[in-house]
Amino acid sequence: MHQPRREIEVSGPGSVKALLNRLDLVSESVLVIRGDELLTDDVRLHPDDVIEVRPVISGG
Amino acid sequence: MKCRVCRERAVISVRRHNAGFCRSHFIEHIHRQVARTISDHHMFGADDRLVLGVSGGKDSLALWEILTVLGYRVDGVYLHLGIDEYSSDGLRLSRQFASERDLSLRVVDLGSDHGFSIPEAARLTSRAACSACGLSKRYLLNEAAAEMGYDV
Repeated sequence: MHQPRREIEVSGPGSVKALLNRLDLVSESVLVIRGDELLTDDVRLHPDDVIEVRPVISGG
Repeated sequence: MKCRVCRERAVISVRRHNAGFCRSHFIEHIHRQVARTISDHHMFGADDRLVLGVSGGKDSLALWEILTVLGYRVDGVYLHLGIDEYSSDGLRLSRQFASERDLSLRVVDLGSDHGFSIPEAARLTSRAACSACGLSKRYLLNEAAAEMGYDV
């Protein structure tokens, strides 16, 4: 339930897949969220988007 | 990516099935998967009384929701481990979840019922906290289920 937060700015990642590659993350291991919608790998990102990347595994 | 069922925009990709799903068809898909797994492994039946250990996290609460939607009679048990705000948050979320759905939640408090918390147990047994926690949780969940007369 408690994940460390960090915010970074990424310029022109293009797609969700490209963003995850840039962050060295595997798409099955995270949820990519824009506003209240989940995004699949192929979704194009806009320069002003605020994206939340949340690990799917947490303590319990 | 499109939803395999309705061709609307997919919100999740399930690589194992090589498919994408929109929100509502993903929920349907998960319900079907859980129902099939219960049936394939002969896990329990519609008449069994089930108890589910919940942490307040998304995994256990989602399973509680799914089993309830599938028609099973499931009560929850929350083990209060005495781990600072983690335990308080988990209990609050579990209570809120149960109350919103009119479900029954029993709370076992390690501190008041058994005289120790997980951080204390880890210190006293010289085990890593995860080891002390894993052993204690398994025993206490089994004990609570047996005491309360659940089938599963």
